[in-house]
Amino acid sequence: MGGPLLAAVAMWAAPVAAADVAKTEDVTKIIPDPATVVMPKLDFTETDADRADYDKYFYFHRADTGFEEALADLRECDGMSQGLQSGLQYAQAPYPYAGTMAGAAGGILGNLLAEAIVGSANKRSLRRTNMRRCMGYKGYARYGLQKDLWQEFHFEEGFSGEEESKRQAMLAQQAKVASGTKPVTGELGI
Amino acid sequence: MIARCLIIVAAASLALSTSAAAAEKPAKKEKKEKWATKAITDKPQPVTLDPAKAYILVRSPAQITPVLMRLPSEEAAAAHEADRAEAFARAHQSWRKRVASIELEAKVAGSDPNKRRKPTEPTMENFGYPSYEQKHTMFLGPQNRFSKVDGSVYLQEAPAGAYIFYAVGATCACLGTVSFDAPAGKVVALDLLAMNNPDGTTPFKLGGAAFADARLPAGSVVPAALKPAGPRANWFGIEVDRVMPVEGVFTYARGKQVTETVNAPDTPASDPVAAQP
Repeated sequence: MGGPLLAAVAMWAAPVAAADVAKTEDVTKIIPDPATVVMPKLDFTETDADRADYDKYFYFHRADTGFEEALADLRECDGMSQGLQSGLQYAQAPYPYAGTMAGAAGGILGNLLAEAIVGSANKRSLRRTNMRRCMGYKGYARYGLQKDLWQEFHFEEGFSGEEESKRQAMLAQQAKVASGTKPVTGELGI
Repeated sequence: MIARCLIIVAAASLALSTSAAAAEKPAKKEKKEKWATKAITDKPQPVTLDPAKAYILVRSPAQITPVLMRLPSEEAAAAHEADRAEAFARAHQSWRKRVASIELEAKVAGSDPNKRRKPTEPTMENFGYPSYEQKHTMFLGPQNRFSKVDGSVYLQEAPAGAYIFYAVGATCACLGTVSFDAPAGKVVALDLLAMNNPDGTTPFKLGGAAFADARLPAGSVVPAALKPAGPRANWFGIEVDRVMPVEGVFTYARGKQVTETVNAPDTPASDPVAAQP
């Protein structure tokens, strides 16, 4: 009986003690030492299937660019590619169900299904578009990569996002590649 | 007995914290800035301009849905920052109460309060509060056109001030946009064309428009003088692109706007730095 009451009173009463809770470091501001960032594997034997997927699986590179600059650019473009909308609009139930309870319930279910089926894919596609455009405008060239290698240091975002520390670790690897040796494979364009 | 002591101590702290909070509470603001805009639609009668208002005219070859945002004056920015700080203080106090509650529940249950999962502390950096621009957004079109002659013309009555072009439909000019001044009693006109390039990009071509319509008072229409305004955050979570370079005004170097002046080397545009989200 006393527990909930105590909790209620203390909720109002102990703000000073709560303020002592250690603040977590902002991982989006940390610039790691590039020497500690693992260079991902980029060598692979290209197949037709790989080439067909280059609109999805790619990395960036720009000459005369340092690690820190590349990381700042990638973070800025990543920021432009977060919290995206699926682009799906609410669709009304068709006649003769429009305006009925059954129609409303069916409409909600239908919209949820549509969002579940294509909403996530739309968001992933939009993220790719925004990254390509943002980095392309900054002068970075795009190079194709095999899916398995790509997944080692990239992430996609549909309904669920990647944890911030993992995201930043992968962005650091991408920055290492972007500021590293110029790839020998062909450029893909924006 | 211990529980009773805790209640007394807690109640005393509560009294202290509430009185301190009351002392810190800022004086109530006298007047909040009012944000309202109005579309001027296609009517045969002449348009009477309100000398206290600005008028923004957007001309496009097709029906579109432009999004413009007002930029804050120094005073408005300060007032907005004060509102944000006030909202942050409320959010932080709420977080402190929540953490205190979690810690007390842990103590009562006899477990280590440090091992309980707590919400992330709000900071001024991570605190989600809409920007001034987001709170002063103006959506035009696709209907309510002022004129349908040679394309679509939208005319909007708005408070005077500086504005940025933000988006058309589901594509924003987040990677680089422009601003322009909209003085009171004038119609500021701009041409807007949403491109569809073969490389997949969809930038926006903007320029000051020479527009004439017998319904508008003589001498009231002025072409918009565009200025580089830098990037903006992708507030709506949509596709990103940018405004194309404006000859004699600015161009891009590695994605950043640089001013273009006659007989002078390119220099980084001053606005973009200040305009970073």
